[in-house]
Amino acid sequence: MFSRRSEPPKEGLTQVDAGTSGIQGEGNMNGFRIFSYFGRANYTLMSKYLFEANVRADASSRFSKANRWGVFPGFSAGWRLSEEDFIKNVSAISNLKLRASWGQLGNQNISGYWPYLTVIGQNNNLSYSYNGSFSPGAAVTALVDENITWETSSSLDIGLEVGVLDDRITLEADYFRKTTKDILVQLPIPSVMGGISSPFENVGQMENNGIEFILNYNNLKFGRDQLGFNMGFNLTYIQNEVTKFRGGDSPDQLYLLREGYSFRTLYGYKAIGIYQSDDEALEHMHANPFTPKAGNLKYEDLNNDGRLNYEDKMALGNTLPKYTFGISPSFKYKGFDLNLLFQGILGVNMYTQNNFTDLDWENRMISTRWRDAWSPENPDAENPSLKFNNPWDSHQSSYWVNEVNFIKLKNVQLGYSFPTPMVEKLGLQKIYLYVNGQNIFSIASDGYEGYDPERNTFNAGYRVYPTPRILSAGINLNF
Amino acid sequence: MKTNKYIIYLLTIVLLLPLSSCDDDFLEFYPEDKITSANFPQNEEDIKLLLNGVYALMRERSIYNEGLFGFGVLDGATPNAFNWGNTPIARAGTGQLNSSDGSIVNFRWTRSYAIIFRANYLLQALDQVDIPEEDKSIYRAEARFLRGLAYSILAEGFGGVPIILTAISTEEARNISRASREETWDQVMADYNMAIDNLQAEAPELGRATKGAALGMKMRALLYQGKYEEVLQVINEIDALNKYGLFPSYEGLFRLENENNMEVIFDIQYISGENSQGSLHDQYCGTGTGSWTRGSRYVPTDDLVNAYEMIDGSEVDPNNPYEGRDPRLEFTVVVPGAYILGYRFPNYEYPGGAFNHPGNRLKHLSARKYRIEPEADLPPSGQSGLNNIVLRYADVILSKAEAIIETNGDIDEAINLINRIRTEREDVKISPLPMGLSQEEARAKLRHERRIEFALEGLYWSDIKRWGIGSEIYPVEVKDHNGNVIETKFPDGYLDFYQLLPIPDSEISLNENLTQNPGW
Repeated sequence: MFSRRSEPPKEGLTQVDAGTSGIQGEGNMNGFRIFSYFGRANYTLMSKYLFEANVRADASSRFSKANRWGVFPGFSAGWRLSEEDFIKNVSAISNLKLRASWGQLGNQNISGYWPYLTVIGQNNNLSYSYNGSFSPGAAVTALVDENITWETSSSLDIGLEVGVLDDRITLEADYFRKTTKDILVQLPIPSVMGGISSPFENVGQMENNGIEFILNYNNLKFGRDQLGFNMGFNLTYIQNEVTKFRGGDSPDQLYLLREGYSFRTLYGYKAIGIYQSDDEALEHMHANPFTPKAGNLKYEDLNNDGRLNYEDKMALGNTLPKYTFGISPSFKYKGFDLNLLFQGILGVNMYTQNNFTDLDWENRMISTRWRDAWSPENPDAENPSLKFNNPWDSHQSSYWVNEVNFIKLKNVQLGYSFPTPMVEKLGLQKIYLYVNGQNIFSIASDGYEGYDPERNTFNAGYRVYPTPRILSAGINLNF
Repeated sequence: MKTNKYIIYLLTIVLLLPLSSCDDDFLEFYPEDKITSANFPQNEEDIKLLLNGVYALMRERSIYNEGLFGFGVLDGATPNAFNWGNTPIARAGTGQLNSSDGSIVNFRWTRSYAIIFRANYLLQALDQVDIPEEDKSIYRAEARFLRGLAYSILAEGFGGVPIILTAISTEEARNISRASREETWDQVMADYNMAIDNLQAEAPELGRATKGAALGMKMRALLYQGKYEEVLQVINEIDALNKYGLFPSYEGLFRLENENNMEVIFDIQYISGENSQGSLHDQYCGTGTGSWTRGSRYVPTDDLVNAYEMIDGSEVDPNNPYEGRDPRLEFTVVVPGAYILGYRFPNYEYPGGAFNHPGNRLKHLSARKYRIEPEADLPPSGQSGLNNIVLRYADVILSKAEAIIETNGDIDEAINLINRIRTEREDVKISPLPMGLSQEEARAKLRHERRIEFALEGLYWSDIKRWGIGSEIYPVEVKDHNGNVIETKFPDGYLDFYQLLPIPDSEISLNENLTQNPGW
C-alpha cells in the first residue's frame, strides 16, 4: 500500500491524515487458496515390520476448475533387522533397518496468482493521449495456458540404517530416484507473438537419481568432566536429467531445458581465447556481419562457417550441484561446548555476468580482475580488452561461467554452562553464556567472483543481496 | 497369530469426500484488481480501452535505442547524424550490426508484432460486442490502419515477414514461415485500403487515425515500393480532402504551440504530466545547459551541415560558413556560436555555454529540431509533451515531385513542387530551382531537397536504401571539431546486405522455418 498527502496545515505534523492536498493512494491485495484432504494409516507388526500408507488430495485456486485437484498417494515399508534373532545376537550391531518408500507430491508454487486466467492489463504504459488529454488503455500482456495443472513428482527411496557400538556410529544410506512430470515452466516464445510474456505450461519430465549418506560418530561421553565429541558428516550426490521435453524441440536459452541435458544447463558460446590480432579475428570470423578485433573474445565456431550465431552454442555446464555436503563437529568439556557447521557444494557452474563483472553495464563500478585486461602490451591476459559498449564480449558465453566448489563455515558457537551447584545457589536452573557466528567465511574455487558463493545458480548474480555475517553473544538464564 | 501381537495404530481413516460441494465456493477466487477475459470485452468502453492499448505502442520510451520511427535517432544510421555509444542503430549505419543485436533489430521486430497482436485482438473483440455498426467500422478501420503501419515497418526494414491476421498459438508461432516482401506489402495495402474506405476525414478525437492519415501512409508505402503511378493517384485523393497544406513556419512545425497543425497528417501524441504519457526525447537527445547534462544521443554531422545551400545559391564562404545559409539549417542544427535555451554553444568555445553530453565526442554541432524552448518550459524527465510527426504534407509534395520525375512526367511541374518547399513558407525562402532540367538533374535536386527538408526526422535511412545510393555516398567519415575521425560509416564501402535488417537471431533459434536474410 502507498498513500500520500502533502501540505500539512502546521509544521511538525507528520502523519498522513494531517495532509491537506495532493491525496494519493495505491495498493492491492493478491492471494491464492489451497484446499486439502489428508489421510494416513500406520501399521507395525511385531516391532519388526513397519507399514504406512498416506494420501493427500489438494486443490489450488491457481488452476482452473477442471484442473484444480491433484491426488498424491504414498506408501512405505520398513524391516527392523536388528529385532530379528539372527542379528540380535551380534552385539556390535545396535540398530539395523531396511526401508523403502514410494510417494507422490504435487507442486503448484509458481509466480502469479491466476496463471490460467487471461488478464487484460490496464496501466499508464498501455494508455495513450489524444490532443492533450489522457486516455486510458488496456491490452493482453501475458499469454496463458488454461489447462495447466499440478506438477507431480514421484519418489522412490531405498534406505539402510545401521548403528554399531551402541549407536556410537550410525550410518544412513539412501538411494533415491525422483521423477518429476508435467513440469510447470515458462518457455521463451517467438516475438511474433508480440513480445508478451510466455505462459506457464506443463511440459517435460525429469529424473533425479542420487545417493545420500549421513554418518555420525558420538563418543557417548556426557559427563561434565569428560571430553564429549560428536562428528556428523553428510553427503548427497544427485544426477539430474531432463528425460522428456517437447520431443526434443526446445528453445535455446541460457538456462537450457532440453531432453538429455541436466535441468537448466548453461548454454551459450564457448570462449576459447582472445584474438591477438585483427587479422586473426577476420580470418576466424570471415563471414560474420560484425568483425571482432584484437582483444575481443574468440568463440568456438562449432560449424566452421566463419560466423557466430545460435548454431555455435553449446552446453556449458550444470547449474544443479552434483555434490552437497555438510560437516558438523562438536565438542564438550567442563561446561564448555563448541559446535561447528560446515557446508559446501562441489561441481556446480555459475554464470556471473552482472554490474561488477561486466564492463558493459549501466552501473560502471567494476571488479579488479579487469586490471588484467588484454592489450597489445599484455597479450596473455585473462580478460578481453577494456571497452564499453562491447556487445561482442558480452555474449552469453563460457567466459562468464565458473565451475565452483566451495566450503563455508555456516555456523559456529562457543558456549559455557556454569556448574549446577553454583547456579542453584543463585536460585536458577541454568546459566549459559555463548558467542555465535554465522556465515563466517567461505573458501571458493579460484575464479569465482561475487559475494557469497551460496547463491541462486539460476541467475547471473545481479542485484543479489549479500548474505550477512552475523556475530552475536548472549546469556541464557533458566528460572 | 494372535491379535495381541499386533500393535495397530490407526491415526486417521482416509475419507475422500466427493471432490466438490463446499470447497467450490472457497476455491472460486478471482482477482479484484484486474480485468480478466471472464468479463471482457462487454461494451464500447472496453473496445476503446483496447484501441488506446494499440496506439500506446506508437510511443517510444527509451528512444535512443528503439527506432520504430526513431526520428533523429534513426538519422544516426545515415551520414546525417552521429549517435554516440556505438548503439545498434549507429552500427546499422556503420556496417557493424549483428543479428543478435537488441535495439533496432529486436525492438523493431517485436514492437511491430506487438502492434499486430493487439490490433488482431481488438478485431476479434469487436466481433463479441454489441455496438452500432458504423462505430464498429471505425474501430475496425483504426485497428487495420495500425496493423498496416506495423507491417509497413516490417516490410521496409526486414523484407518479407510472417503474416499473422488472427490470434495464433505459441505452437503455430514456432512454425510460421516468412511471406515474400511483395506479399507483405500487399498486406499493408489491404489494411490501409480498408482503413481508407471506413475512416472519416476528421477523427472522433484529434490524434487518432483519419482517412488522410491512411491515404498518406499508403502513399509512403507505395513510394517505398517504387509504385510511382499509384503514388500520384493516392496524392489526388489526399488533395481532394482539402485538408492539408504547408504550415507557414518551418521552425514552428516542431513546436508545442503548433501541434496538430494543417501540415500534420499523422503523428505520435505525447503529453506531459503524471500519467507517464510524455517522451524522453528532449532529455535523451537534447543539449546540456548550465549544470544539467542532457543525453545528446544523436547530433548532426558536418556532412549534413555542408549539404545546406546558400539562400542565394552562391558558394559557402569558408570563413563565415553559417552566414546566409538555407534557414532550415539553423532550425534543425545548433551550429557553433548559436544560442540554445539561452546559452551559447558550444561551451569549449563559450565558457559556461551549452554543450553536448560528455560521452559524445562530437561536440561542435547539436540537434535543434524537436527541442523544447525556452528553458523555463523544459519538462521534467520523461514528460516532454511534444508530438513527433510521422507524416506531414511536405512529404506529399515531395513524393508527388519524385513520382513525376521517376515516371518521366512533366519535369517542370515537379520542379515547381520542389520550389513550393523552397519558397512558400514565411521563414524558408531560398532561390527557386530553374525550369528545364533533365530527369537526371531533377532527380538529384529532389533527393537533395528531401534530405534537407526531413533532416533529423528519421526518413533518410529508408531513402538511402530505396534509392540504392549507399555505394555512392559511403564511406563517410565523422569528424570532431579538431578534425579527428571519430567514426567511419561503412569504412570499406556500403554493404549491400544492409538493404535489409537481419531477422533477430533469437527468433530464428525458436523457429526453424524462419530463414535469415542473405548476408547476415
